[in-house]
Amino acid sequence: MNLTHAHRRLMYAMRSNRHRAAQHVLSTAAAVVLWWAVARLFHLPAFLLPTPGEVARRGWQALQEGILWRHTWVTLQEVLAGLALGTLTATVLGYGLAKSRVLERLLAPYLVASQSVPVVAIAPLLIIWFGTGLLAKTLICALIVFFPVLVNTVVGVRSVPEELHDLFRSLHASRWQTVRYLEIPAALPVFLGGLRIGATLSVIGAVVGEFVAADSGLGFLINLARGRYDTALVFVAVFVLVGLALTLYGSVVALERRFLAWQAPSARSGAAQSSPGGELTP
Amino acid sequence: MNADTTPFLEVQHLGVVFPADGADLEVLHDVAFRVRRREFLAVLGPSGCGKSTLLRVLAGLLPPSRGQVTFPGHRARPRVGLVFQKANLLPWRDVLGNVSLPLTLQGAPRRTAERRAQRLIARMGLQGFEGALPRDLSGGMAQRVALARAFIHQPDLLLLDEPFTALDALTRERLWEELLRIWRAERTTVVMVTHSITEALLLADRVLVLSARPATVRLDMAVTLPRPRAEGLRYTPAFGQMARRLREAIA
Ligand SMILES: Nc1ncnc2c1ncn2[C@@H]1O[C@H](COP(=O)(O)OP(=O)(O)OP(=O)(O)O)[C@@H](O)[C@H]1O
Ligand SMILES: [Mg+2]
Repeated sequence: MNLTHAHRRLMYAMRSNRHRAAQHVLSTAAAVVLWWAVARLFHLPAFLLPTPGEVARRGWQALQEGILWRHTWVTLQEVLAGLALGTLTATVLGYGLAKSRVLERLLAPYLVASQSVPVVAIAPLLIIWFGTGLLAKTLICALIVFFPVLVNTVVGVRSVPEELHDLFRSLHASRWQTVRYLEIPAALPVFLGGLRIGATLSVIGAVVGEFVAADSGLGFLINLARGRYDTALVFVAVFVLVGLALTLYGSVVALERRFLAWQAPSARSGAAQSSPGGELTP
Repeated sequence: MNADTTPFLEVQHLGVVFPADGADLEVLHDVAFRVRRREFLAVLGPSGCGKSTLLRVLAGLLPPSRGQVTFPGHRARPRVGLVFQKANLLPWRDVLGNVSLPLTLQGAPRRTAERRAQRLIARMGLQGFEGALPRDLSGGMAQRVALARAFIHQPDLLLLDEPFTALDALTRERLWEELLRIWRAERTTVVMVTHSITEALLLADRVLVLSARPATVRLDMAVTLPRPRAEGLRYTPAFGQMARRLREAIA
């Protein structure tokens, strides 16, 4: 009985997966056709709106010249380093804030205030202080990742039911055991919700930094191509950025699938809703 | 009956006050009682009087505001097994993982922990569900998992907070049997909070009745019914008499 139940669930999941994949392909194809039709019907010049074919050709050329890969690699480094740094500091600090009211009272005003300053506004400062290299961009990226991960870490750690803490205390669990066997798994759903948002924001952070001052990276490539009216190359860079963001997002979703399988499907969407942007679950 | 006179657990002048702005909430007031080693004590009392609070103090989870809880025969705090009003399982661990948790936290080797967990799971009639997640268990099954988890590290003191209230009558009576069997086999001391007079009389050696908040001990009554106590005992005059005493004390 159990087996057939699991089997049915698997079949259902597979069918809905295939269904969803088909929908993605269809909607992408429709968008490309529409784009092509607009470019053609209105006889727009290539520097206003290149056709899909022109963009594809430009992308292929940039790939062969090696510039596409070089700039992508730079941005990727900034994104990954910034994401790692932002997530790490936000998780550690978030745990401290969740466990200590004193720390929360001390730091909360600064954290909230820091959020009212747009990253674009402080990016030039960071460039002045840390130069135009990888470090400044990583910091900008980390800054933008920091807040959603921090908030969700605090909420996640605080959401651990008091009765489960009682259970662990009655079993004389050590501090580390409580973290490992109780707090990390219990906070994980909300935490990953924050990471999902942070992952996409990290790409934005890197581009913001590169717009302000850079000699490489996809943001720099966009600026460069725009200056040369090479709009097709702008499109190419934008698509690569979108691809990066989607890949990161998908990686977090894969982590959720792997580590949150214990949640009932309904509970899982519930956890996603408790974090901003949760309705974007693919 | 028992010649051993040093109590296992001694509660003296126990008071618990929850501070609140406005008037403080006094939950326990000068509560005193003793529990012998391997005794089965049932605690009855009106809803909200402080029974769960009493168990939390006995478990060492809540420091008393007044008085003390001592374990005269023990140098350190005894090992405690706790069953809550709700099953309180870890939703990300399967049945086997939940039952073996206390041993895992004690640092027992995984194989030993799982073998022992397997035995208790079978005893609770849950064989075949080792890999099931809490979300797939019925309320009764979840509560049986919680009981198995409370037994697994062979606690000296078992604290049960209305463990059977949420169950259907049939499951409840089966689990009474199971609880008594394990209690006898493992020689633990049990303090069980319950709302049911019948449950108290069928299981316990002694029944404590608490008054409404702030709770004090209203009645401390030995249950002199012979064991094993069959269901039919309910209809005997002795049972009826004791039930009446309890009911009058609660009212
Ligand atoms: N941590 C706490 N802080 C403040 N008040 C509390 C706390 N824990 C319990 N109380 C209060 O103490 C009183 C007794 O609670 P408790 O849970 O011990 O009652 P109970 O006898 O177990 O009730 P029930 O039969 O409904 O389970 C209640 O009024 C409750 O609101
Ligand atoms: Mg209670």
